Amino acid sequence: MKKIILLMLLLVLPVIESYSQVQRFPKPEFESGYTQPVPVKSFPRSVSLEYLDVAVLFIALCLSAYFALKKRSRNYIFSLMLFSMIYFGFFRQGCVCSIGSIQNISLALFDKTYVVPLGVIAFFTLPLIFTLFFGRTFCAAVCPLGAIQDFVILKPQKLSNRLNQVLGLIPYLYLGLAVLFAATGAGFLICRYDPFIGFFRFGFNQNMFVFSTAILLLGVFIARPYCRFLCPYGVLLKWASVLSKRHVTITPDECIQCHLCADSCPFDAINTPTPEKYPGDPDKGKRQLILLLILLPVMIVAGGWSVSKLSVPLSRNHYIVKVAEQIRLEDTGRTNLTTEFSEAFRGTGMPTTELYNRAAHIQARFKTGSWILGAFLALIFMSKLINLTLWRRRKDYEPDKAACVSCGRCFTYCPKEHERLLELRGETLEHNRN
Amino acid sequence: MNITETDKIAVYNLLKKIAVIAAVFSLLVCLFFILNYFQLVTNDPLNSPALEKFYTDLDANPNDDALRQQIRSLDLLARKAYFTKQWQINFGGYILFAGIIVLLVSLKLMSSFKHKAPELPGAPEDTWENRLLSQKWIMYSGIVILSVTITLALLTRKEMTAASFEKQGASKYEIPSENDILKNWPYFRGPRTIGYAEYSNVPQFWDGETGENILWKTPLPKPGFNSPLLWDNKIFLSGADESAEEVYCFDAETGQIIWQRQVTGIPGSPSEPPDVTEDTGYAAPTMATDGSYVYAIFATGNLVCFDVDGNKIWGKNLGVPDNHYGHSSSLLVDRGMLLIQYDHGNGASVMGLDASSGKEVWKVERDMGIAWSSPVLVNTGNKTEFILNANPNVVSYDPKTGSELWRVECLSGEVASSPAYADGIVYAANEYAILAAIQPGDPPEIIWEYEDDLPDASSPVATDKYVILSSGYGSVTCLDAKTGSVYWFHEFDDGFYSSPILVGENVYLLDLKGYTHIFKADTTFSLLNTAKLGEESSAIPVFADKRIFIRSNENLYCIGEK
Repeated sequence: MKKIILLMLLLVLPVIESYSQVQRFPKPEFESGYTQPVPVKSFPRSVSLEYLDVAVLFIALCLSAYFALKKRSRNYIFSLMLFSMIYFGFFRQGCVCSIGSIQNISLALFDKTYVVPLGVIAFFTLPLIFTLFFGRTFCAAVCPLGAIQDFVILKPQKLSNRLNQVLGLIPYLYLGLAVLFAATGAGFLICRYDPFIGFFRFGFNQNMFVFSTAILLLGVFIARPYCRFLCPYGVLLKWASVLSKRHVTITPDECIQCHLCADSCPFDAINTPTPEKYPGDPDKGKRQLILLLILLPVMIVAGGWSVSKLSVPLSRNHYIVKVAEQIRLEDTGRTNLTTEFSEAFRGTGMPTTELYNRAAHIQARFKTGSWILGAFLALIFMSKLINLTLWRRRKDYEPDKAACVSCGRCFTYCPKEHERLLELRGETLEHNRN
Repeated sequence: MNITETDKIAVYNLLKKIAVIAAVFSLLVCLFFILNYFQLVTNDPLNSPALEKFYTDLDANPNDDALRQQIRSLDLLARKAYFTKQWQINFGGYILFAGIIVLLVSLKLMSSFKHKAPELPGAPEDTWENRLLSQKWIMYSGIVILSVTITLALLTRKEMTAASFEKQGASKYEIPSENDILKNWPYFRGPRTIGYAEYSNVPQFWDGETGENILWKTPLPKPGFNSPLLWDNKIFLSGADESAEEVYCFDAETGQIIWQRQVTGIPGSPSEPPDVTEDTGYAAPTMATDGSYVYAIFATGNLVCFDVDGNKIWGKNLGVPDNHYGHSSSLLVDRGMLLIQYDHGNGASVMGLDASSGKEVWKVERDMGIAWSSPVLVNTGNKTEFILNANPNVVSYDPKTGSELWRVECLSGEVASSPAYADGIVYAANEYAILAAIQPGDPPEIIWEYEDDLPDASSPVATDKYVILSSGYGSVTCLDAKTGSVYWFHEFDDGFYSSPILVGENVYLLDLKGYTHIFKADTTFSLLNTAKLGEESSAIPVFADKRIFIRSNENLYCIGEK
């Protein structure tokens, strides 16, 4: 079966790529009497429909939390997930989405002229609030990006702990870059590289198609690769989920240490019990912790410094810097080739000095932002190391609050869950056996 | 309803069949897709051999209407085929999507029927060794990221840093002081615009052929009849031909080119240059500078501004001038205002632009004929006047607002000679017209007139005592500035396109063959020397401290005592 799937997907690749091409065709060189259609400006979505989206989001979040925590039903969660994929994905075409809303919020924080729509604020805050109370139930059944990936999970493979840890650093980098780009006005990175928007809208550009298909193909074997190893909003949800008061549990009752749920999670989000005593040399562990704590500020400065050195190439993603560089190359005779952007700039009549001043201002913002990004990444690295040094006693198999997306797959692996379901049906285990 | 194991197996088998059918169906659609795609890629309907042949035939018989109709029909057919294929691809995409959805749903349901039994209890995975290994991996990845970051940072183009842009952006425009202007040679006819040199400690003898008193000589990349400018230690001039317009900056000490910029990316610049005559060319107007920026204009109407380091500040096209010889009026810049005389067949005008941005501050449409003369800026007592020669008027404007101060009708024909000024009197002359000594005022008054041996391309120079005229025929005339009576007349072998420059009490006048005649500004003609460049020249020399810079048709010379 795996071979069939692979064959299918590999064949689909070049095909959908051709489908994704933007076809252009020159106009006839002679008068044909054909009237060119006038370009139509699309209007923004009406406010009432925006509120409808928020209402649907709120209801979906409530239902997701209810299905995961109260009903403990994977089938209900799966059904809601399908609805979310259809509504927020195919119907709303993936916009507005909570993941992208990070950028609107970032831009609004750093650009006073930018006003965030209320709907976007709701999409940013509601999932975080729900996560703070109930864990990542948003990821379980409301996020269309999670849903489409969940739908293609067919042969999930376990990843080693170390690989999970290392790949788990990427979302922090992505989040940092997305905030930096949005805050400096360079663009919305998350939207630009949303791998599933093309599926939702039935249209891709060539490079994005390859990336999107690769992510989806990977998702057949590595469950939800975008959610786990890319999603920047997932970072915020992880932080909120760790603090969540009521998170899903594998067992509805006390863990009986049967270990049957150990392999049930395709996301490697089940923490296993730890030995009763600290397994290493406690003195060595303490020394390591102290060393890491001493190194923490040093690494933060080093991280900030090193990433700040990349501020110039990073700033090239801003169109003003890009145009300024091109104009500079043209005006200093280093290139004879103009671009449509440089020609458009010259058409504005704006003095070059003004362009350079703006570019310098943006680069300065990138420099500050890169410092913060580097420091943030160093902090995350060091936190991970410190976290792995700390010893916490864990008796039971339990969901990793940060990584668990509350999908409910593990429920049915627990004998206690079966008991609960039987009780709900008014049966007993003995009665069922008979 | 209880589902038996047999039912489950039956449903599973059904799902398996559906999955296989969906897979085969999707594969077939895929094959169709691939075929269609390659057809679209390989067959360019508009460049088919049949159409190409028809086009060739049509070139040979442009009046063949039947062939024309055939081309149209074939073109339409090709387009229809192309768009049908496109529709097929679009429609096929949806079918394929549906097929894949069915396949995925079937596989998903099959997996739910094939419920994997939980593994029997084993040893917990979260061992201490695992944690240590994770720590190591995180450290290694951190080191890799840090190394990549630093490597990328090292590979970054340094000249594009924020500091660099700040420097460029910070190269703010500054209005030069009067003293700075007088120390340099920022305009066509010197810092006072009327043919006066501020330095008289310059050589009186040189020989371009033997190299005597020639400090350096640098070949010019492109031709141009404009004269050099000097600011601090930089010489600016422009050059152009049919293919390109360029601005140059030379080191006044060594003659080396400091920067050379091609004028590109000017909005509205014509794709084809206008027709010009050989003796005017595409770069006849002399540039202007104020020490911050340099400004150049060309026969195409392209006006460009660079800072003195060669960074382009702005550029615009003023409209291609309708000028049968080629545009030649030089630029002036006064206290942040770039002043342009733009008298052409398709609309004569004079304008003042903001020098730092190129934005128009004022513009006056003029009822004048085409003019090749250059404006002057003179202080006539309590105000600065911007005076222009044209056919038929000499007009004075306020350089700040463009408001007209006075006008005198005294010129005619093809006016190329620029005004002279001394002791409150404006002197305007042109061949086939008159030399008029004008007392500015309201109304202005012509004090005296002179009609012989008038200049055609060169411009007169005046002092409180004398007015000196030179012509394209080689004549030089010295008149009494008060009365217009002739003090002396001398005829040289070669004519003058360059203009006489007053250097102390002497006059330097460069003829077309490259000989500079140095004579006294006096009541009698007294030739002090004739210095030989060895090359033809039409430009006005630049007089600096102990040095003279001359642009010949081929080279830029620096003359000074060795």
